[in-house]
Amino acid sequence: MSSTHVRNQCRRSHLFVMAGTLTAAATLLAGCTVPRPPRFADDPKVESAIGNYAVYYRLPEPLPLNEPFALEAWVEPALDDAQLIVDAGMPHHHHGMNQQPTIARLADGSFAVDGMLFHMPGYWEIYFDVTRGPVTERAQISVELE
Amino acid sequence: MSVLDRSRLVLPLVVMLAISAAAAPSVHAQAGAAEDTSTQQAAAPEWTARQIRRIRRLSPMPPLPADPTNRFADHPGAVALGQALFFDRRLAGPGAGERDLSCAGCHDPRSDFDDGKPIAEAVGTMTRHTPSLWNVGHQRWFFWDGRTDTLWSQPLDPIEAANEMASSRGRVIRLLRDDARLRTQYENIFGGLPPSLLGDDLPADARPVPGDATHAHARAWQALTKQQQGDMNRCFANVGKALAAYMRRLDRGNSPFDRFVATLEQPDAPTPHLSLGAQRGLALFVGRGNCLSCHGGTRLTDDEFHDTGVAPLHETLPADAGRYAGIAALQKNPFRAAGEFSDDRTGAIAKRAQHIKQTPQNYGRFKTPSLRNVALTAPYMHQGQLPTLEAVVRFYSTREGARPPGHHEEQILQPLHLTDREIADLVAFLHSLTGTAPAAALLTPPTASTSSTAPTAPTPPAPATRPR
Repeated sequence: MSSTHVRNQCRRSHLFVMAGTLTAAATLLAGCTVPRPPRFADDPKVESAIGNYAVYYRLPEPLPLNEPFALEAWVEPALDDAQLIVDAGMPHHHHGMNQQPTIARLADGSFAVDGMLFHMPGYWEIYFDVTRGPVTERAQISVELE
Repeated sequence: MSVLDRSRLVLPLVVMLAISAAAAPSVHAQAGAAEDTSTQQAAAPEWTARQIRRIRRLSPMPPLPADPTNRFADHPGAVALGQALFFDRRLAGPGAGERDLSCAGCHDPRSDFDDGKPIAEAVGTMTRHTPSLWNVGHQRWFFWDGRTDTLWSQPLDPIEAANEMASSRGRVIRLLRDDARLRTQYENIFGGLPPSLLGDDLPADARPVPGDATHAHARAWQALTKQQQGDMNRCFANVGKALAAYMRRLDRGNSPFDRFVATLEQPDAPTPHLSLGAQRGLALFVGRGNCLSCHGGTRLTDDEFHDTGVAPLHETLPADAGRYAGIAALQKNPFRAAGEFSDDRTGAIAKRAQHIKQTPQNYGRFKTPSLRNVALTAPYMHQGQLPTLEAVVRFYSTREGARPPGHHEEQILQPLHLTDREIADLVAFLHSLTGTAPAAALLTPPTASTSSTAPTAPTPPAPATRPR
């Protein structure tokens, strides 16, 4: 279907973040993390903008062009009260996906993301927004779809 | 649209292409002249591995996809009933008068299942161009705004639209009930008509009319019992499923382009199937033209929605929200894939609609049409704004007359600065996408011998009251 080149990027998010240290402290205080499931052991990861989270992700290979696909993600540290939103866009075209993925947290603490669809070839960015309380921190990767 | 009318559109294009051919003698410029001679084979482009990879993704035409939301999609009896209904003028409301406002009235097989007009005209004048039905069974969304997600729910909309056929599900059910041949066909497929619809008290027209409870059709609908409403909805959905079974047969693939791709890496193939100009156009199509951004895949469409920036046909036409309104309509449509009349409410087709979202970015976007058979279906764009393929390619090349994108709009299209010969080359390539028509028997009203399957149940007695 297409060849995919995935490269991790860590960028400063356009949303927010007052102080990474506060989040880090909250993380340590939470004390409710769970271990990463073994199936994510060999998956790539990307750090969030401030560095408080690492997002492990499992994408289909190759990524399908103009067909719906699902992905899985694991956010570390895995906090019960952290939420994940996944979206994607083509910044050079000034548009996102035409679909809104649904995200479900599984019993093992990982996230199942369904309803992704890249309808055009070219440069896409996938955004993982981790929100805990009032603070959202973004990790993102880019893919090139032919 | 008559053959004469159609020739008025085609002739200028042929003349234009002939002029282009004079300037570039190697270009086969006539419509339908995509087949090539062996003398031009020696000058064929040397395709790179990347080009070949991209070209191969455009062919062959895929097989007809299954439609699990319609378990009668491939039922021969449903095809026959659908064909009969497609050409039946009695589906239209009394506003049609003496005009043929059957489905075929606008989707005329003699005009490649469109009407050849910029803006469709039926009981009233509409605001969009009639799309052709060739290969319609492959589509992901239906209508320019994608307001339905199944082929069987698509025809239900124009039957009841006030400016199209201005009819009602009540009228359609009475026709099925009172026409012995149609009733036999229907009952052989879907079972007997429900008893609640067999009484003499069924109104001539009845349908829900959102936003107008005082409409005569709405009052008649409200006077029906819940049982009658439910039964009528079920039968109306079945009518759509029969029409869809017929429309799915309107496949038109196997074009000269497909034959070219099949022999692309066979240097000893007898002919390249495409003129040199069409091959140059193909190279532009998969390269500098950036056409693949929206017209990729084996049907040369992404089946999604974009704003090309083309100006309205007339300034008097109302602003058209396009996909923005289409998403809202789809989510309210009781006949959608996830709705109660679907035969697969949780499958992949139903899931598509669950993931779409109405955002400001959707405003003014329209569905990318397939380019297969595009040379047959002038004029072009959602309001028929551009009369010829040459005008379309020139519009994308120069962007002259295009509206500037707003801050919510995607910014994909940039001027290509194509030369006149390059424009002619792309047009020649687009002509090579005309496929082989299906069996002629599908393109005319069914004859008595083909319109009915052998009855498996006795034909019911004619009711006392007949609408016609």
